[in-house]
Amino acid sequence: MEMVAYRLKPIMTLSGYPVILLANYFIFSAIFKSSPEIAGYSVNEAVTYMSVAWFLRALLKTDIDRLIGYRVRSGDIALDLIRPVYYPSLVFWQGLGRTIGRGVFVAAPLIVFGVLVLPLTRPNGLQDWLFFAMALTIGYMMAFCINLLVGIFSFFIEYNLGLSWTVDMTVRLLAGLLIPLDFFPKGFATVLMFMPFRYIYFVPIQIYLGRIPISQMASTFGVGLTWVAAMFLITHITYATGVRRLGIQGG
Amino acid sequence: MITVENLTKVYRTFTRREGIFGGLLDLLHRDYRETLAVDGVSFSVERGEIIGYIGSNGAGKSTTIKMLTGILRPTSGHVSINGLVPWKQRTAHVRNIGVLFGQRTQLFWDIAVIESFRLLRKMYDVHKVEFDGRLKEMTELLDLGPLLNKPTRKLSLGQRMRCDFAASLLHDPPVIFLDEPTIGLDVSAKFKVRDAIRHIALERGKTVLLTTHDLTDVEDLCQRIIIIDNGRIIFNGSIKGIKERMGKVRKALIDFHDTVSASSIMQSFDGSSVDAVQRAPNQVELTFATESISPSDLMRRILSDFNVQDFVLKGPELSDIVRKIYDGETAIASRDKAGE
Repeated sequence: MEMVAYRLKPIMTLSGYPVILLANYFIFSAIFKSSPEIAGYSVNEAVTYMSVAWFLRALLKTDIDRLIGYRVRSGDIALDLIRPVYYPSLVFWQGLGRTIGRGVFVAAPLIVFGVLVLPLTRPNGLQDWLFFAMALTIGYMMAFCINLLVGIFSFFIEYNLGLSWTVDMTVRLLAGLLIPLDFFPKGFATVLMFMPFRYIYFVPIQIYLGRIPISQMASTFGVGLTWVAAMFLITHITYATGVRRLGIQGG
Repeated sequence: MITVENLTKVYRTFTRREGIFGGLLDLLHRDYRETLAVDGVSFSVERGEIIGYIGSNGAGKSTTIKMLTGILRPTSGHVSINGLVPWKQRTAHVRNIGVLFGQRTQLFWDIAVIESFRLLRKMYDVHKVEFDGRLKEMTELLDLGPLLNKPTRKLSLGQRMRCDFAASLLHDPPVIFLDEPTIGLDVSAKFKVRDAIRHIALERGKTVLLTTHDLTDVEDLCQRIIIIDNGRIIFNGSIKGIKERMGKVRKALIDFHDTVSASSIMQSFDGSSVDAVQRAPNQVELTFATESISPSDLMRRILSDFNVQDFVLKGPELSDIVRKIYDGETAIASRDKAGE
C-alpha cells in the first residue's frame, strides 16, 4: 500500500539495487582473474550467489524494526496496542505487505535486470526450485524474527536506530550477504554454520546453486525450523516482558 | 460499567543535565526520581453516562486513560471495565472499548479512509452486514460521505477527527474513551463531533469517558465531571453541584441610559459586598456574592435607583470555577468529597 501511495517511491527505491549488482559483478570478475575457482565457486556461480543474495535483500528489507522504533518514540504504539490483535502478528502482516510491495516494484524489475545483464545460473529442475522456495520461507521467518526482536528492543531502550544499524551490518556479515560464508577462513566459517543467521541468505542460495546434496536437505531444514521456532519463542518472551514495562510517550 | 479503585502510577524518570556535556554525563550516570503521575484514583461510571474527566496539563488525565485502555500497567490499584482487567486481559478488553486520541490518528496515513475502515473491520472480525449498517449510520451522523475515498493525509483536522471518531465506533464497543476529541477544531466541526458523542451516548447507550480542555464541551455534554489535579481526584460530582458549591460569586453587566459612575453604585450598595467596575461611561460591571445579596434583590435595587437600558446576569461559569481550582485559588479540595 505504501509502495503505491506515492508514485515515485518504487522508482526511487529501485534505482540503488542495479548499482550493487553491477558492482558485485565487477568485483568478483576481478577476484576470479587470479584463479578459475574459489571455495568451490566458479565465477558465474559467485556472481549468481551475490545477485540472488541482493534479490532476497530487496524482498527482506521491510524495516519493521524501524517502524516499531518510530511508533514507540512517537507514542503511536498506543494505537497498535488498542487492537484486539497480538502485536507481533500485526507486525508480521505489515512486514509481509511490504515484502509483497517490494517484490512487485523492486525485486521483480531487479531480477529482470539481473537475468538480462549478468551471466546468472539457474537451479536444475523443479525439485531444486521447490527446495529453494522452502528455504526462502525459513529465511523469511528468521529475518522477520530478528527484525521484530530489534523492533521490540525499543520497548526497553526507546531509541533503537543505532541497534538496528548494528544488527543489520552484523547480519549482512554473518548471514552471507556480504560474501559467501565459505569464503571466510575455515574456523570462522565453521562457527557460522552453528549460528541461525546463515538461514537468511546463505542456505537458500546454496540450495539455489545446488551445493547442498539431497541427503543433507532434511537435516538442513530440520535445524532451520528448530532455529525459527526458538527465535519465535525468544521474540515472544521479549515482547511479553517489554509490553509490561512499556511507557507510552506523549499526552 | 467502569470501576476504578486506588489506581496509582509511578513513573521512574531521570533528571537530564543541560547541554551536550550534560548529555554525555547522563549516559554515564543518571539520577532517577520517582514521579507520582496518578495517585490513588477511585471512581465509577454507569452505563450510558458521559463523564468529563478534566484537569490541567500534566494532571494525570492521559496516564489514567492509558491505564484504562490497557496499554499501560499501573503501579498498583484495581480497574474493572465490563468485568475485565484492562492490562491483564488486554486483547479481550480492547474489543469492548473504542478509543479516540485526538492528537493521533488511528487511520492509515497513506490510504483511503474507507480502506482503513475495512482493515479495522478485519481486525475486529465485524460481520459484513453489521459493518455496512454501522458505516452508513456513521456516514450520516458525521457527514463522512465525501471523505471516505480520500487518503488520511489529505484530510483537514476536523475531517480527520470525524473519521477517527467513526473508526473508534465501527466495532460497536459499549465503552468509549475520547481523549481530547475536539482539540484544534473550529466551532462547526466541534458541534458535529459533540452531536455525534451525544447521539451515541443517549440513543445507543454507550458509556463515554471524555477528557478535554474545552469546558464548553463538558458543559454541553456531561452530567458529571471528575476533576483531577496532581494525580488526585479533587472533585467528582455534577456540574450543577460544583456551580452551587463554587459559583457563589456572580457578575452583572449593566447598561444605563446616561453616564453612571461605578462609585455611585458602590455607594448605593454600601454595606453589601458588591464591587463595581466602570466598563464604559454608561456601562458598569458588578461582582457580588450571592450569600450577601441575591441576584433578584440586586437587580430590583438597581432598577429602582437608576435608569437602566439593558442588563446581563452572568451565571457562574464552569471555566472560571475550574481555572480557580487549577490555580489553587479556591480551597474546593474538601477532600472528603473526593470520590463521592
